[in-house]
Amino acid sequence: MTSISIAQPSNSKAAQRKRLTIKWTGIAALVTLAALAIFVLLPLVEVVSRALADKDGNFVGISNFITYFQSPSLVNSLFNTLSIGLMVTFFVVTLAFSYAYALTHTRMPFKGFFRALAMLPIFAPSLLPAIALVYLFGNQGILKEWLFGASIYGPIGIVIGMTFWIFPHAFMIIYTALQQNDGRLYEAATSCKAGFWHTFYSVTLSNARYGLLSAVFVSFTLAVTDFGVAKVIGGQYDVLATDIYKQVIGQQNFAMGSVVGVVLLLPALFSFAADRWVQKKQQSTLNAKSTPFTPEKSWLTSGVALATTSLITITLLTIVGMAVYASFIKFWPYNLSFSLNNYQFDLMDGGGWESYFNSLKMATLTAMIGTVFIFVTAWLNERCQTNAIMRQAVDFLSMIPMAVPGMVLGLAYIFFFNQPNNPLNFMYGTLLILAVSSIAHFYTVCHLSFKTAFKQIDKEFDQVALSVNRSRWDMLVKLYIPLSMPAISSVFLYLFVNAMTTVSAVVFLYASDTALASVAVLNMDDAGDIAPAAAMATLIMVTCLAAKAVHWLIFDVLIIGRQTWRTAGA
Amino acid sequence: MSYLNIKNVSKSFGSKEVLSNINLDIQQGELVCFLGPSGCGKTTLLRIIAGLEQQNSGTLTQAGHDISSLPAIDRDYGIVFQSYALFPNLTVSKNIAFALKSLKLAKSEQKKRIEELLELVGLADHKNKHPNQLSGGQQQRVALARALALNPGLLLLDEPLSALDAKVRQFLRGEIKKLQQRLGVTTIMVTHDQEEALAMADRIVVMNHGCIEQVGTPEDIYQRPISKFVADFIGSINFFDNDQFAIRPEHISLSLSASEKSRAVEVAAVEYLGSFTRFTVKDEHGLYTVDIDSNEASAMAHANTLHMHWLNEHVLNMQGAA
Repeated sequence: MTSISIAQPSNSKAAQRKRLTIKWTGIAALVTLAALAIFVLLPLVEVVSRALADKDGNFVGISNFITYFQSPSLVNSLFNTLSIGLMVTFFVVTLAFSYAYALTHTRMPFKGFFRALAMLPIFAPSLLPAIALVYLFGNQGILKEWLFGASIYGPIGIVIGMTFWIFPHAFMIIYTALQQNDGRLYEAATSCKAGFWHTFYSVTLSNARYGLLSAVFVSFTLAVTDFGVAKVIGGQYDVLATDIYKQVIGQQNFAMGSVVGVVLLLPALFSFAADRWVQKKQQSTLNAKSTPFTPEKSWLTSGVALATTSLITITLLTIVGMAVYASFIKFWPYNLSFSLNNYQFDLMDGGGWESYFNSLKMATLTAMIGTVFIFVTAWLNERCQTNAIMRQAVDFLSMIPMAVPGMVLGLAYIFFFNQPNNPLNFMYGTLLILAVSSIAHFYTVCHLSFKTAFKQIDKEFDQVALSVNRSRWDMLVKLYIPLSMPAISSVFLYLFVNAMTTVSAVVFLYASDTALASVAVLNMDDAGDIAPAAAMATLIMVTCLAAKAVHWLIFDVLIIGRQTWRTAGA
Repeated sequence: MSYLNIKNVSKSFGSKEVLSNINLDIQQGELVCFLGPSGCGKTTLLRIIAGLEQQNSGTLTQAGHDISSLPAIDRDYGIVFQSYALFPNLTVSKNIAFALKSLKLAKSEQKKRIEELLELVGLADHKNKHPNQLSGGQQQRVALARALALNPGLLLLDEPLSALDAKVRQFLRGEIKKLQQRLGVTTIMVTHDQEEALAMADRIVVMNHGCIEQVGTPEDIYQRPISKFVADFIGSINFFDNDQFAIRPEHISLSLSASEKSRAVEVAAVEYLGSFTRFTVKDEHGLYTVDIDSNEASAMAHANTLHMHWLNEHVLNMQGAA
């Protein structure tokens, strides 16, 4: 033996500690599974059971569904919802594909600028485009003649509003798919003398096909489940999401509300299942040997691309700009002078400034609790769970929220938490339940982000830790958290922005002292105070953009930017 | 008594048996290679020794203690993976410090220990770098230092060199061997590279289809293979007379002129491989691979017919071998 001569560590103490740790992670995994069951599964069971009961709670089988399908106006909504879904999907995917194609397959200038602008609608509540459309094309709209006498209040408004709001979601998916193109395939196509269309069809489209399909399903799901746009600009045109609202809030008919909810679950579930199927297929398209694709220089294609993206961007900016502009106008359309009157929310019904601060608190709560809980749950499940059945249970429960429309989740939460005999009843009417419902609502994307992040961390790290007697906790702190910082950071922002902008789940759950900004937009619009509604929607959007900026500063500059090992060396 | 005793160990994944009834003794201080084609069960056996997999049956005894059902955490070993598994967010010294935590050393003692270990693997100048600032070979040595940090009784190396370039690989296998001898740590290395095993091992365990085919010194394995699989897997070999006999390509000689015991063969292919040249020649019984020193081979490279000859003492008798 040479210099290596330190005595053997006493293994028994470390072993005891390790056994404690194993118990610790086991118990924590059970707790997270139980939490998922309580906050995701049980409320949904409650909705389904209400749909099968009469007003007094007696089981009546499918008789509510029979009533539903015998009621022409309700069935009509189902038809409306599906046709809106199809139309919006068509427009969104076409526009998002053109936009993403221009950014990935041409040498047009200002790509970074256009890419950033495409995300703008994410930061606004879906109510904002609807309000902007009222100002643009409504009864007193400045571009009213453009519709040739047709009314914006109805399918036209819904389709335009939703197309605006869903555009970034579809764009991100298609952009990612188009970006993951293997340059070698294009070189091969050129060497085979394939023409533009041939290459476009057999290389570009064929590579991006799963991304495109995924964008189709995601757009369709968002379109059939969105509540805000249809509520503000739908007029007499009913869709399922507004029907639930009317049944529950308007008529207090919870049984029929649940039936509509269950009906709304079906297209969403179908779309979700289809998307999962596509995602599974997608996995093996790229490999480590792929080379990046560099588009050829061509003034013509760059010009067309720039024109197309500019047109779409101008439309997005016009819609946002209209809402912002209108919020500063004294009395539309008679007195166009600048004024801050519309921001005096305390003078209107709907929740006042308090609702804005409630939203800030709620969104912060959602982002903080949500990020920690989802991260720990995903980590326990991916890296500590040894029981395959438990692991699949957590994965399954984590996928459910994606398929559940916000309106249905909100309804489920009323039923479940409003029961006096539920020990969690104390949460009802608090900001906490609003935050918890938002976490549940947006759970799936966050869970998948963390799962993907953990997949990139070799399991051999944990085995090394075992060999040197280091605990799971040490691994979490030393390795998993620092390495997952980009995912943690993006999940945090995602939860904050969605909690700020969402209306659907929370519209059923707020109490008089926990009104939220997005709900205030809805209520002020309902009361005819459309300019203050525009002002509040603008405020939400500006807040989200500011959050993005602060978030960039904290996470990207101060935390990830200081993780010098990410860029050091090679 | 052996340091590590593996007795009747079997392991199945579902209905697929990956190890069947493995028996093996490893002596204190020796370097043993598990060698075999992919899927032969060598990595699974290593992981069972580490406690990262649980055997379905059989017992393991390390340093006189039964470790058969001891969790990985309680076993006494250090491990190096093919991927090195260095924490990318920690510097070289912090990677090693990570392993030292359970010793609860004072700051200065820990620092000294880290320096010792880095000195040992020749990386003293790199202690403040992050793994991605190091070459593959350097990362490998950091992983080795980390595996040795707790002074383990057993060092496990899972294909430690296969991610490296040929040159670095050759250099490092010498370094690892020297280090292992210096520390006297009992070491098990899994590899699919026969050259690596021959160069490094005190003893080689040749595995195939979840069974041990042969255990022996590199010379034993190469010169006295007990099965056709071993003969074929380690180096190249020619079988003849219905596979009853075999001979290594370097034990056959070729010449332009016939001699008393030679037989005429037709040249089917010639491959120049640097220091030697590989001929594929043909007689009425079949094909033979013959390796000739390139200095001698150049004269014969363009011949169509040559004369083949070998000494009977080089012929391996494979009668009765599996």
